[in-house]
This record gives sequence, C-alpha cells and structure tokens, in this order.
Amino acid sequence: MGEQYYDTGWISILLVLLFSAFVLFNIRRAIASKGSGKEVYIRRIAGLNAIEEAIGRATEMGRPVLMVPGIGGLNAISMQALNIFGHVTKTAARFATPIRLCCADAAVYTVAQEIISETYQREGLSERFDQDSVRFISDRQFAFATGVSGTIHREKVAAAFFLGEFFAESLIFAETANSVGAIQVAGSTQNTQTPFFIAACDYVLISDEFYAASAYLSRQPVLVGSLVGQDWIKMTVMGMILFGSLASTFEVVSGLKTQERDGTQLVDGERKSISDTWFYHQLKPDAPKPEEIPQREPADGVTEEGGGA
Amino acid sequence: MKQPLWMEKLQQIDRKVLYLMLILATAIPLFIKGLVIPVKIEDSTGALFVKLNSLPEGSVVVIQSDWTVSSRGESAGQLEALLRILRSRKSKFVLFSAADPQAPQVARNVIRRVNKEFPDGGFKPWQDYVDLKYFPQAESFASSMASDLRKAWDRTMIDPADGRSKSVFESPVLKGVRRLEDLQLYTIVTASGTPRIVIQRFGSPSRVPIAALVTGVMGPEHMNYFAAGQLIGMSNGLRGVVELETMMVEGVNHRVDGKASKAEYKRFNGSIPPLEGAQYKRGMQYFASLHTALIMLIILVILGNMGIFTKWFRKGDA
Amino acid sequence: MSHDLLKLIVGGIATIALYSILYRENKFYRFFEHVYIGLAVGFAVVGLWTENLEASWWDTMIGKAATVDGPATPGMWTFGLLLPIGVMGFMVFSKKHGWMARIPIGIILGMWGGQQFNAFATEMLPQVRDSVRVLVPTRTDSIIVPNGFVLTDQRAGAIAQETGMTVEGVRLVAQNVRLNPEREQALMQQTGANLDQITQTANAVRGLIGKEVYLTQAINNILYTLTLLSILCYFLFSFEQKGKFLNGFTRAGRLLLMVGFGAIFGSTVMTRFALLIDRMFFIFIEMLRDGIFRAGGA
Repeated sequence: MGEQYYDTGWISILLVLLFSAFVLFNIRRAIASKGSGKEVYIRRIAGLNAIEEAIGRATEMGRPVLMVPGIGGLNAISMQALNIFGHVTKTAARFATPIRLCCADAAVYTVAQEIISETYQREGLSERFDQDSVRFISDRQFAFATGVSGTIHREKVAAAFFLGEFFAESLIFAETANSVGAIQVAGSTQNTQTPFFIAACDYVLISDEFYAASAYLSRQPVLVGSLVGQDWIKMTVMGMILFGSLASTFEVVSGLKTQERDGTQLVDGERKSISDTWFYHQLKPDAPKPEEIPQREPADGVTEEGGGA
Repeated sequence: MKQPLWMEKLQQIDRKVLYLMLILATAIPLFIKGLVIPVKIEDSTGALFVKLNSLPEGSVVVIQSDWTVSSRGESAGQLEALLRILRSRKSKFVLFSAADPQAPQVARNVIRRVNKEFPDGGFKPWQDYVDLKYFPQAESFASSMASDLRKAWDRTMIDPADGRSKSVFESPVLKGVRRLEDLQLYTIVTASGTPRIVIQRFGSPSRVPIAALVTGVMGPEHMNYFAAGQLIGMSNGLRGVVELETMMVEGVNHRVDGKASKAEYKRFNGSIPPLEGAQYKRGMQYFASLHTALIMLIILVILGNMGIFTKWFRKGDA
Repeated sequence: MSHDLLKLIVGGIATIALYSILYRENKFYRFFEHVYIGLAVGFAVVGLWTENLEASWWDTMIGKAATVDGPATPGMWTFGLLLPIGVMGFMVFSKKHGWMARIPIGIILGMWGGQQFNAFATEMLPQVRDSVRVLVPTRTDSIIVPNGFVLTDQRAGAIAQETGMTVEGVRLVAQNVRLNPEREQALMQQTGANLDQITQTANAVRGLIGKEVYLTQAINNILYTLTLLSILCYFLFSFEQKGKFLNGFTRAGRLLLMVGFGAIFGSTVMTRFALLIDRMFFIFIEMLRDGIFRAGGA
C-alpha cells in the first residue's frame, strides 16, 4: 500500500511543504488585513475593464447579458467563474439589465442559482430576479452547445461571458455570439481552447488572469491569499530556474565537475528510480540498496531526455 | 462609392461554397491509391517507436484507451498503429479505459479490425490480451494502480479454453505481473488530458515508462511532459500516425544500398529494419487529404487578409 | 441487405444529416441531432453498467455460487453501503434535499485534494528540473546536432583514464552501448579489458548521450529560458508591473504567449480536419465505394 509515496524524496516534500506554507501564510495575511484598510495588494488587470465595458454596452442596448461557467463539474474553476458572474450580476441588477446564465452541470446549476438570487437580494432588488434567468441546458457537450447557441440567437444577447472550463464547444459559442454582434469576454483555464477565444472574442483572460479577476472582484481572503501565495511560488520557481541555468552554465564554462544525485539512474535509456532516497528507506526499511539491484540490459543510443535540451 | 476590387469580393464568398470546396478537397485525395507523402520524424514519435521496438518478446504493455468515436479520425489510426507494432514484437497487452464508459467498446472494434490483417487471427483474448473494461474516477484509479496493482485490476474474464470465468491474473498475460514495475510500457491513447493524471500518480521518475498517443488538440500540452522525460515517447495527432506508419514501412535509420533512409531519427544511434509486411494504412491515406485541405485553408487565409488590407488602403486613399 | 451494410448506410445518412446544418437549419438535422443525443445518453448508461458497475460493484456485492465454472466467491454485502452515497449525488435535482449531493461531491473533492500534494511534486518538479538549461555550447565542432553520437578524443581519453581501458577500446564500446553476452565476449577479446571495465565504459558513454550542447541548442536554451521567465513574470499579480524593463519583459512574455497559442491553434485545426476527413472516408470509401457499390457489383 502507498507505494506511490516511497520515492517522493525529501526535496519534493520540502518544496511542496514550502509552497503550501506560502499559500497558507498569505491566506492568513489576507484574513488578518481584511477591513483594516491595508489589504493585501493585487493589481487590477486589464480584463476587468473589459468586463465593465461589456455590461455597460448591454445596458445601453437593453439586451441580455449571457454567462456560461463552462462545462466542467462543480470545482474550483466553475466556482471562481460563478464569483465573477456574481459581480457581473450585481452591476446588471442595478441597471435592470436582464441576465442569462446557462449551466451544463446539475451541481453548478444549483450553486449558480443560489449565488445569483443572493446577489439580487443583497442589492435589495429581489423583485428583479427572474427564476428562469439561470438555466440548466444539458450535460451532453454538444447538446449544451446547441442549446446555448439557440439562446444567443433567440435573445440576441448584447454581451457574453464565457468563463470556466471549455472544450471543443468553445468556438461554437464564440462564433455564434460574434454573429449576433455581442461583445465577448472569455477566459479558460484550458490552454487548448484559449487560442480559439483569442481569435473570436473581444477580450480574453489568459489562464491565471482568470483567477486574478475572480480574486480581485470577490476580495475573498482565501482567493486573494492563494493568488499572492502562488505569486511567491512562481517567484521561487523563477529563481530556481535562473539560478540553476546560470549554475549549470558556469559548471560547463569553468570545467567544474559536479556529481548528480537525484535518486535515479539511466537504465535502458530511461530514468529509473534506484530507490536510495532517505524517505524511501524510512517507509521501506527492508528494501534492497541500489547496488543490490541487478541492472537490466540497456538499449543503445536513445537519450533519456526525450526532446529536451 | 468605389467599385469593390475582386480581392474585396472574395470576402463575400458564400460560406456554402467554401464548405463545398472543403468537402471536395478532403474527399478527392481519398480515392487516389498509393499516395505517399514524405514526413520528417519528430523526436517524440521516434522515441516512441524505438521504445516499442525494444520490447522483448512476450512483454506486457498497458493500453489505456481514452477516446471514443468523436476523435476516430486521429485516435483510431494511433491505436491501429500501436497494435500492429505490438503484434510484430509478439507483445501482450492489457486494455481498459479510465475516461469514458463507451471507450472500451470502441477500442474492441479497432482490435477486431486489426486482427483481420493477420493470417493467424491476430490478438486472442485471454492469451494475448485481457480486457479490463472501464474504471471511473481516473485520479483515484491511477493512485490505486500505483499502490496495489492486483487490487486495482481485480476483474474476471472468461478463459476460452474451458469457458470458465477466472481472475485476469491467472491469464498468460498477467501471470507474473504484481506491480507497475512488472509492466514494460504504459501507453495511453487519448483525446483528453489523462496522461497528466497518470504521470502525477506514478511517481517521479515513473515506475513504469509512460507513452502517450494524443490528438492534435492535446499534442502541444503534452510536449512538456516529453521534454521533461516524463513521457518516454509521444505521437501527436494525424501526423504522429503517419510518422509511425512511415517508420513501420521504411524502418528507422535503415539504409538500403547506401541510400539515405526515408525515416531518420537523429537521437537514435542504431537502426531498425522495416516491419515485416508493413504497409501504409489509414494515416497516410488521410494525410494527403489533410495536405489539400490545409493548402486550401492557407490560400483562403492569405486571400482574405489581402482583401482586408486592400479595403484599408482604399479607405486611406478616399 | 447484409447487417453490416445496413449499419453503414444508417451511419452514412446520420452523418449527412448532421452536416446538413452547414446548408441551413432543417428538420432532418434536428431529428438526427435528437437521435444522437438520446443514443449518447443511452450508451453512457448501459456502458457504465456493463463496463464498470456490474464487474466492480454488483458481482462483488452479490458473490457467486459454486458452479461447474468455478468455486463460489463470498458476497461482499458491505458494498451495498456505497449505494446510498452514490444516490445522494442525484439529490442535486431536489430543492429540499439538495444538500445531500454535497456529501459525495465532498468525498471526491477531499480525495482529489489529498492526492494533489504528491501529484504536484511528481508532475511539476521534473519540469522545473528540465527547465534548468545550459546556456552556452559545450561543443564547437558542429553548429547543429550531428546525426548519431560523436565521442571526442578528450572525452574518450577521460573515460579511458577513469576505467583503465585504452582509448581505442572505449571507442569500440561506444560504437554500440547495447551490451549482450555475445557482444561482451567479443569486446573482452578485442580490447583485453574485463567485464566490469566494459560495463563501466558503456555506462559512462551512455551518460554523455544527449548531454552535449551544440550552438543551435544553446540558442534554443536561451530562448527557452527567456520565454519561460517572461511569461511567468506576466502572471505575477501581487505588485504593479512598473518600470521600462519589467514592462518590456512582461510585454514580450505576452507576445511569446501568443506565438504559443498560434501553434496550439494550428495543431487543433489539424485535428478538426482529421475528424472531417474521417467522416468523408466513412461516407465515400467505407459506405459508398466498399459498401453500396461493391455490394451492388457483386
């Protein structure tokens, strides 16, 4: 049992603990500073202006705002999308702009309904909330795509927000909304779909910008803290890569010889664990030492680095 | 108002005309037999082919088939090529899906089709492969494979010899297999991001070499894993299928009468002769159509953009 | 008409019907769209049972009586307790009992969350490690990566010194580092070295393969590192990105990101075309040429 943890190695554990600590510490910081006037800083990204502009446009035209939280299930991504939609709804409610929120997942639908009706209540505009504005369309990908496209066509939406997990249906939405002249803001954590949104939408929140927008708008300490924590992680990784690259370049230039020790060795042209990490032996004291493991017959010529270098 | 130039008129072409052109461009090359388009072997596909060709006889390979008919154009070719190479190595395999309940049936159809190519009837269930069907929750399933393979794969299958339903671990395929290390290769034919889940849960470095055969959509995303050595090899979309077929027919770095090989893989020091009886199949047949379609697309994009530019310039003049 | 031909024709008609939307929205399309959605749901339900639940859950739960096929297996009745947890997932459709759906979702999220610690390390750290690249060339005898592996005199000399073999011997071993008993015997005779020395030499040579950096690779590595750092920099949100250098650097990051997206776009277009070609193959070759016409001609 638990064999997947044997070869974790102490560096990995240390880094994961460090990274978790970054996030937890910043969440703590964000909670402590909430309401104190000196809140944890995150910069305003350009995409937020696009969101405001899109709602403004819909209000001017008196046509609905469409929101789609992707086709993923109830997870962090769709929750963050719903956070942003809460903000969109708040502005839309004030100006009595109609909204349409189309869901592909039953659980997301339930949560979306709660969030949207709550938003109207908080603004004291419960009478403006239309039960039918949050809809469950279908949980089949292309059936959902057809349903949303139909809504876009019939209701001639003025602004469309596609935020969340999108797959092959992304271009169908973006093309349809484009054909009715809607201003579109999209953001997907799926790298494969972002190019399509970039080609067809007016503004796109690229990968992490999506989380940043959600944290900026909702100001929830957990989101703000996580975002800042992630920044620290990114900076650590940048430092590691920069230092590592310079160090290994120095190693080559100066002719220094360093020994690599990473608990692996080349067998058959692949990196194989030789299972000699301290952590491994703590979990499995009876495991054979690396020198006791017989070597397999190696293959010739294939590099262990694949397409790298 | 100035008369629109012919280039500007191009922008007003009816969509239906474009669709018709596209249908013709993709359909006509399908009728031309024996078209072979040379292709450069990518490092990722070369590494996959070399790995497959270094499998010892009787080795056990996993095929996690995570695609359904919606990506048949690419994934079917990938799986067919993989099966043909495995057959030539006399390898055995374990089949299952961790992505879609429909996937195992789609894979079975491909196995049946490929089996018809072999005079001896090809892969035989129980003897040459075991079918573990579908496992939901790819994340937890990958974890349980890493932690206890026998528990994770605890399924039964009918032994055709006596018609009895037995544990798959009694089959000739899985007889000596207890843990991931006992498998020679773990391949994933997929239209989604399942290789990532497997990479995340099989330890670093992985306890079994992992290879992915992905669709063109997922290809760029998986290049990172190949570059970092987390995937031992990778085949990307239709092009990957064509590369595999080319290496099967031409061999790798295989020179005949001192002529340069048609399939060079730089990172490989040795050479592999062509596979016995190998022929260009579905991949190469589609490849010609892909070329005509892409050439048409490129021409149309250039013309369309020229139309936009002339419009701009004329506006500037006025 | 054979069963196979019928299947092909129905498939062909359905394909044409679904493509008819390109002409315009019509009833033919609508009908097959609904058939398709219905079939997809039906297949999913049946598939879930036959491909998974029956084997993993039902058969295990009820066990099996002894027959000629084999001995009895005891029923694991505790598996029945899983049913209510699963059914809770369906409570999402009820306004009153909707909260129950959060229990199975919570279990799944908890499991997923716990696995993420290990998953993050195994997925990301090798990539960080791979991102550490040598930024200057180590070899100047060629600008591009040559075919195969070339062992320089200096390196061969170093290995020879380390293993106690002659330089010629090292070169002989390096010709093909794949060792097998016959080759080992032959090498021992040719070089006069012992088995340990030969294995050691082969390992040393193998360690060098892919480690050399040529000029073009060094340029690639520099581009790679700059791209990586500028894009990471673009995604930093906790401070205002002021200053000429930082602004330019992140702007470059954004531009390079667009280049990457362009590549993804191209690759995806290839997939979409491949799917279309496959459908065309199905209609024109599988159905018409090899199906209807062959059957008609025969």
